[in-house]
Amino acid sequence: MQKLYLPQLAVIDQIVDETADTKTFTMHFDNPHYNAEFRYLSGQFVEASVLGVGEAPFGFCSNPNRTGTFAVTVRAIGRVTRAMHAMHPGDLLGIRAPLGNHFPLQEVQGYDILFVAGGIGLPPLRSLIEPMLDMREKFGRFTILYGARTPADRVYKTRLEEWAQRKDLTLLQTVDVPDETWNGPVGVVTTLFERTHIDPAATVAFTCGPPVMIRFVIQDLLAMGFPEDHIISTLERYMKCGVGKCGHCAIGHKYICVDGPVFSWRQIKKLPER
Amino acid sequence: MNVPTVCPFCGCGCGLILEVEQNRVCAAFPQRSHPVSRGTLCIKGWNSHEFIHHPQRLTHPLIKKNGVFKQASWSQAIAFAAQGLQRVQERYGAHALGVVGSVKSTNEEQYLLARFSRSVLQTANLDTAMRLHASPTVRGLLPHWGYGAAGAAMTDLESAKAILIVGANPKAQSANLGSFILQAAKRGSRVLLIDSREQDHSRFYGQQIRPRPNTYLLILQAMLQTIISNGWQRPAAALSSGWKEKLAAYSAERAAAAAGVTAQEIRSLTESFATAETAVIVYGDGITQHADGLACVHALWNLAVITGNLDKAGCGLLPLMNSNNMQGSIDMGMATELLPGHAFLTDRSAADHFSRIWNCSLPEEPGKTLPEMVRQAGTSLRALYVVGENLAASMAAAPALARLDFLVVQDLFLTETAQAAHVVLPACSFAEKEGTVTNLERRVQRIRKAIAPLGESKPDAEIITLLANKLGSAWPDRDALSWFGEMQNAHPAYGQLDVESVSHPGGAVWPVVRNGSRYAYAPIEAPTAPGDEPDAEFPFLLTMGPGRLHRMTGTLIQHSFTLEREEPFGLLEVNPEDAKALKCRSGSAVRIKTRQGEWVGQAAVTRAVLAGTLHLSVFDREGKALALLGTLMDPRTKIPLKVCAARLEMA
Amino acid sequence: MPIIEKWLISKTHLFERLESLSREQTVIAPVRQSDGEVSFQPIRSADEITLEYVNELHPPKRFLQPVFEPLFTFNLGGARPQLTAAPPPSPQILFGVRSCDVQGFRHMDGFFSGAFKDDLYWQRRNQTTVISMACLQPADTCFCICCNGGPYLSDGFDLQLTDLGELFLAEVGSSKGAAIVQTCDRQSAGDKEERHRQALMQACDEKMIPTAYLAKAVIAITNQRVDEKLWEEMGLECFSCGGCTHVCPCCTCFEVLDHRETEKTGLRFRCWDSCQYAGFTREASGHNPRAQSKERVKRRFYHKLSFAYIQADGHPGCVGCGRCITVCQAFGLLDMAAVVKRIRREGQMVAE
Repeated sequence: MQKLYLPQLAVIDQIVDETADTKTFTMHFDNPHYNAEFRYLSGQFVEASVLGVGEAPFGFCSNPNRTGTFAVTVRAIGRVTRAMHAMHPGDLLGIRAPLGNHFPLQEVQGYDILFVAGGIGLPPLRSLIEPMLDMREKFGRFTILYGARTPADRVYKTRLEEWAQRKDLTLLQTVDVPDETWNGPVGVVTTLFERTHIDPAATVAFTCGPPVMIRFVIQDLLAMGFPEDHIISTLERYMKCGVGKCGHCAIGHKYICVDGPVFSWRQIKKLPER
Repeated sequence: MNVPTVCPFCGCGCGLILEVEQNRVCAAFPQRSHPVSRGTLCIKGWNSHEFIHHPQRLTHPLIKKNGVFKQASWSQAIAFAAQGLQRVQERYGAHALGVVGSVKSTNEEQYLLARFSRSVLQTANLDTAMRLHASPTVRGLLPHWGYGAAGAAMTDLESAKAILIVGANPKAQSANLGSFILQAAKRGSRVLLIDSREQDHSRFYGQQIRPRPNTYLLILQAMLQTIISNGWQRPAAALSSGWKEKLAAYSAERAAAAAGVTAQEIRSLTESFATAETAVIVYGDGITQHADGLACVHALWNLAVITGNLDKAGCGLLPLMNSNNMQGSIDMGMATELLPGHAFLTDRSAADHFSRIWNCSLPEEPGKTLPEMVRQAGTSLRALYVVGENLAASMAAAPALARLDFLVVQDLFLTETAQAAHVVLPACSFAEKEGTVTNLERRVQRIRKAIAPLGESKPDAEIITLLANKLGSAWPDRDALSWFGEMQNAHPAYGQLDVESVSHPGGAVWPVVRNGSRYAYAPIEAPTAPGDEPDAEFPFLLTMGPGRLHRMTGTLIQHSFTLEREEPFGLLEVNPEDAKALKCRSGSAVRIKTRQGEWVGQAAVTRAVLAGTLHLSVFDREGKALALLGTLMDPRTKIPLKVCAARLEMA
Repeated sequence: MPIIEKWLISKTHLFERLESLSREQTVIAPVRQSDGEVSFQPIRSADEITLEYVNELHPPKRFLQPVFEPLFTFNLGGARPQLTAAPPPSPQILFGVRSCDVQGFRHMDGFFSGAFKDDLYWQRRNQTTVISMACLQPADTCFCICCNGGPYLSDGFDLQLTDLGELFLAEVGSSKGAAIVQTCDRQSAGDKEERHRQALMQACDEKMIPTAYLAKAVIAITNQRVDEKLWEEMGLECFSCGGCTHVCPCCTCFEVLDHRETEKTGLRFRCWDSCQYAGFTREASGHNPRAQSKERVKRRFYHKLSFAYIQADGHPGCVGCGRCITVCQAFGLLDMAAVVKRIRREGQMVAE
């Protein structure tokens, strides 16, 4: 029986509307034994199949410490994602997981932690934020900067509320286009840097979001004096097999699906095309 | 199993091998020994197997009941189709019936459909998408050259000292033709391009001039005038009186001023062309679909005659054909003004011949062309039989189709046109039938059955025969290729071919009768007002035309995963100067408005288009982009024009 | 290096053996087609085999990685969707594969191994016996001697044949090759045959015109020193047909698609894809990191010739089969030999 490309069935437990075009799917594997054994790490991803439509990759957004279920946040922009949005709790997806490398977690203990997320870039970071908060005492200052196009385009609004209440972390949010509900900052996410105190030598930054945003964030972090390997990001490409074979996600000689998706700026800058 | 056949996309007619396993076409790859493909294919050819097994292929006849399609048996569907057509015929007469064929059907099928229209339905209203691309070629060349067809072969591009390309983008539209031309350019042949848009290969060509759209006629007349005034004509062809004098009005300066180029550019391009020992003239939709298309074809003919570039190796006119068997539509007379064998319907001896062999009477005058059928749908045209043409996309005809009393559609897919039908007959693809097709250089080649028809689908020829017999004919039930014989009787040039010769890789080119270069000149015609000029409200000139993948109606391409994926949406080309004024970038959502309609899509900012002009290569199934253009058409050939005034806004 | 067993087997006898083996397993051999071309096809009779060919345009990599290859079927009809893995492939013998294609197989072997071993590929590979045919007469497009791709091999085959006229010299490269030889009437190859073979090999080497001097291109591409203008020019020339990658024995990229056969049933399959297509990297959002043809041409040569890849694969991504020369619509401009030459000359121009 060949297994590399054969998905496991997973049952959708819950579907939460995040924004007009984004939903979070919580699920568990249909096979109880497989589900009990299943483990993954922050930053890894799944290949989710709607059988008869196709397969697409999504980063885990859930906390790997909470075993038994896992979740992905999906924006409806392609055939597979639109088909997923039409599904209901109880429906079955095909899942191949866990795939890809992961965020450094043990290695960054003792450092201040900075998250810079844009729009749909928050979900993969959430899978790191939450296990970090589970051992909050292991880290220094903890800052989350989140930018979105409009207030309504922010994902995890309830969770953001909870984080905002916490005294042991700083959450700053900004939007490009405010509405009447918004009384926070307006502007791109990098404008939040001046509102925070960051010690570049003692901080590890994690950033995820649209490619243009990441470019500007990294530019600013470097200008602040961040060491190149203290800037951690994820790269995205059209991805198909998830196991380094189909060739779609190759950048230079790296395959995002097996060598990534998590890379430090030191690694990214060496790639011949980026 | 390997099955040699011919690519179903553009007019190049590349040789393909289909790899078949368990009644599934798994791959397509090029034929190395083929004179056109020479071991190469474009992206369309390499992926030409993909649509064959598309899950949306029609596999059963469908009859619409209370607005919903219900699966039907063939005998039910044919009876329903025949009754519907008969009912309209009885009530309104045969002239209320129309037939639209496909420029992808085989020669045999197009011949049969022409015969069916003329002798069974006895209607004069028959046409194909050939109207929309090549009708000026037929009307312009047939009276002078004797054929509505190319006079050069692709191999002539190898020996031509000069190649003049006018209003065509060979790399995008007919890749292997573009490949021959790129090779010629790299070898040092003079490749000369007259096209308002810059092309990928422009920089490898000898010279390009970029006239504003709708001014090509002035440029071509100025070239003729320049040739005469410099004494470059050869041999000293006899000019009829008054012809030369008429040209005097077309100076290079006049053309330059109108076209936004310099007179020097025109003169130097003319010199390169006229002084070359041999030259091939390639032209395309940029000529035929723009204002004065027929007059431009006449001018190109005159350029070939005056420079003696006919009837020799490395010479001749090579009009692009956008589909694998658009030439076959012309050859088989699948047009209201034509009969098989390159005769006009008004040619009484030809008409008598076909009256006799088809046992029917033929009208003296042509009936309705495709645009006329669409326009008169619901009034003087009440029923249509559409074979493999998506009129909703090619003619923005969905509202017109809804006005018909009865619509029969025969296709591979449930196109927007098929959705409007009362009965849908599932046809099979090029991989499921036998027949011949003719490429843009008159090369007749075999397509071969590689797999059994999908589901209950049938070859067009078989369906047309079923329908003919249900309507009272007694056509023999024979396989498509055996119609080749009858087709040959009807077409003198095909009469010189046989099934064996067309079965070799590369088939056989149907021969033309050479005239020893004693050809008459076509008239010199004045430019006409195109009718939809830019003004303050609509300051841009918008052109539309076929691109690499956004071409024809897109039915096959949109059902081929790789091809659909390659260019999922059409792009509107905007010059950087114009884009700057609008603060528009590549990828910005923009809205085009014309006097007729509007379209929203993505901009591609590129110097490939001139400032003040826009270009759109797109097929959209609802025909929205096409609706931008309105109903302007050339009055003589009835070809709808693909140029109009437009306004550009950010969406 | 292991000592390779060498045997002499009569041609007619080996053909008979292949014919009888074709009753038990698929035997794929070069067969002349109706259009005059030679193509690797399953045979039932030895009469179908021809030895008059250099290489088929459609490379035999398709027998290890089919253009269309089901991964699994699904049935959504029941309470739970049923997924069924594609049935394991049956054993096959590939007879007459040229050295370059055998080197291509080894390239694929390496690529489909590693942490994520592609079990689908390996099922097929393990069921395949490769009987290769050393080349005596190169085609004018061949440049395997530039790429360590041939014209003859010292390993990588199950059985390597050299055509000595009436006889084949058969070199055993594996136990699968030995198993075939053991069922044949054979005699040990002597010094005379060995000398004959050496002479033939040398003659073939001499006939080969080395057209692809890779070294300079490898260095320039690895160090990103190729003039951007050259990529731009090549990008404009390129027709983006994808032909070069389809015919390349080292290209393995594929797309994965679902195909519904009925409303409830269907299959997921993989099929060849090409990095030369714009759609290869376009993301669902519309963003395309390699939107321009020049970026895609650059990518193709980075993969084939950069030191990073050569080190990872242990071999350049080219075996010198020359198919990309035949298949390129921009004739003679963008094949491996042409690009290597253009990079070399461009480099000189810049330096001078």
